[in-house]
Amino acid sequence: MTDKYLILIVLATGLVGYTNVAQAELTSLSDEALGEVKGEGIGFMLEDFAFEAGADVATGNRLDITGLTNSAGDDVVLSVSQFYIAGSGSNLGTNVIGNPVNLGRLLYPYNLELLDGDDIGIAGKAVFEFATPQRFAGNSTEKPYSLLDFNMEQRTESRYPGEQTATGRRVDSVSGVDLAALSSRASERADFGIRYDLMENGVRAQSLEAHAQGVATDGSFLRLWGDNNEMVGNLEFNFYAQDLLFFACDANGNNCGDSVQFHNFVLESQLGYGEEQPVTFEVESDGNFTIEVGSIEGKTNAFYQDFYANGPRTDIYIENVSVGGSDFGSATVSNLQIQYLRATSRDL
Amino acid sequence: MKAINRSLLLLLASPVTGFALEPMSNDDLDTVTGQGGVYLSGDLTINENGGPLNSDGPAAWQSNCTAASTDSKCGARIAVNTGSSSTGWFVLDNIRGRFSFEGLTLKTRTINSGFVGDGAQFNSEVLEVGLPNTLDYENVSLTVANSNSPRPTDVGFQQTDIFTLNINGQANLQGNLLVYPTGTP
Repeated sequence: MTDKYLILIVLATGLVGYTNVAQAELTSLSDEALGEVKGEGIGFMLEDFAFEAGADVATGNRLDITGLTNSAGDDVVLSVSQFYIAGSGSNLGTNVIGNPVNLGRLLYPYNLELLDGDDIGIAGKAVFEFATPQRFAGNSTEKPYSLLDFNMEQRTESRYPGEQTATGRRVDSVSGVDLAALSSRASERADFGIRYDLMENGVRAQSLEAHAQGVATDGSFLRLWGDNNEMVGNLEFNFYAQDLLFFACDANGNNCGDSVQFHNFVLESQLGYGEEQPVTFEVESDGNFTIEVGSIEGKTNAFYQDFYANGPRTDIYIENVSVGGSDFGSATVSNLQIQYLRATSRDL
Repeated sequence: MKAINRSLLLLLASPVTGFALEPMSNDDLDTVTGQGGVYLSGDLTINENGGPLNSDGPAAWQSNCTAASTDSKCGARIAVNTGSSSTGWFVLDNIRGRFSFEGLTLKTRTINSGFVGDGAQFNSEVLEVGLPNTLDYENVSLTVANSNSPRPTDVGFQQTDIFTLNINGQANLQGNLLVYPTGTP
């Protein structure tokens, strides 16, 4: 009797094994199930990153940008004698390798993703998005989160004299910079800069330097999708630098002049408003390129009300501008709304 | 006798149940981690003398492709048209030169600590691309341009070069590129 039980148990175990194999087979997904599938994004970040190119020209390291001409038609070569990306304390590019920075944060990385357009106001489209680390709310109460503390006021303005009128909140002044909106910690804001020599007609004319310290681009994104066989997009570009420095030196990189310094520089620029105002990139048949931000002319009154109150806006703020050590105070550009823009290149 | 029978049965049964291949559960698969990694050195030369079409292609493609030449027929070319109303092409042209590195590494890594507290919360696997310490360039060039047709041999070909980048010598770098899935599936 006991033997029979044993045999039964062995058979039963074998059956369980076979049942498991059958469960592991691939089965086809129904249309309903496929409809639930959402693409995951790919996140990436650079850990302990530093980069330096073009340095030490004497040993043959060169990074040249050619194809430019001056007003007299002479060839102008931008010969880069240093381009670097490093951590804070790079001391204008003298401390690069060995002074790394994390670009992107593990929990808030750079991200490539296919978005469902229905969720972001681009109906029925799959939208490709490249995004930098996201922003936190900070002192902001509504999206998109801003790095600037604004004093707002209510205004009524027309789109154009005699055209639709809309009422909404507008920036009256900027009261400060709110760094709590950045997901990149202070140690994750890069220093980068470029030193380049201007060579005109083969003669080294001048050495120019531009350095940015404590840079973050959190909250920026580029979205692209197809519309009537054309690639269109929306762009949000956010740039924060603790300090921007520009100065010129003689041809040997010595005897540098006074520097122009922007302290706490904030650029928050949105281009395009979903499908209603797409940004297009085109090349004409004559070989010139065109960037166009769609016109809002002819749109409904309701659209203009929404565009005025919630549409894309560009704000620029510099907490302090100083030239040669003399402070000039703050500078603000705010409430800039592009109703139509078309920029075309022209070969000189 | 019964005891002997029982042992015999157990012996017979054990190879079947003990050694059969069994599917792994998702939980078990989660605990599997890749070991080791890849160490790569590379020496890549792109179209040093203009490219294969310059030596073996039709006569229309052949041109003088010395290192200083910016002839549109020399070097690799990528032309992109952005849509039906766009009649011209964005072009990356004259892509050539020699590019070498040593010490690019590829491996998987579990991050569950560090990163100023982010690691413990992240607690997941990433693909780690260890960047080489130096990149060597020799006559590497790239031209950004706009053109009215995809190929330089097309009838009525016109191209506006915007700028050309030439790189020689060495670039220094350090760090790791970490790649991992994001989002909420």
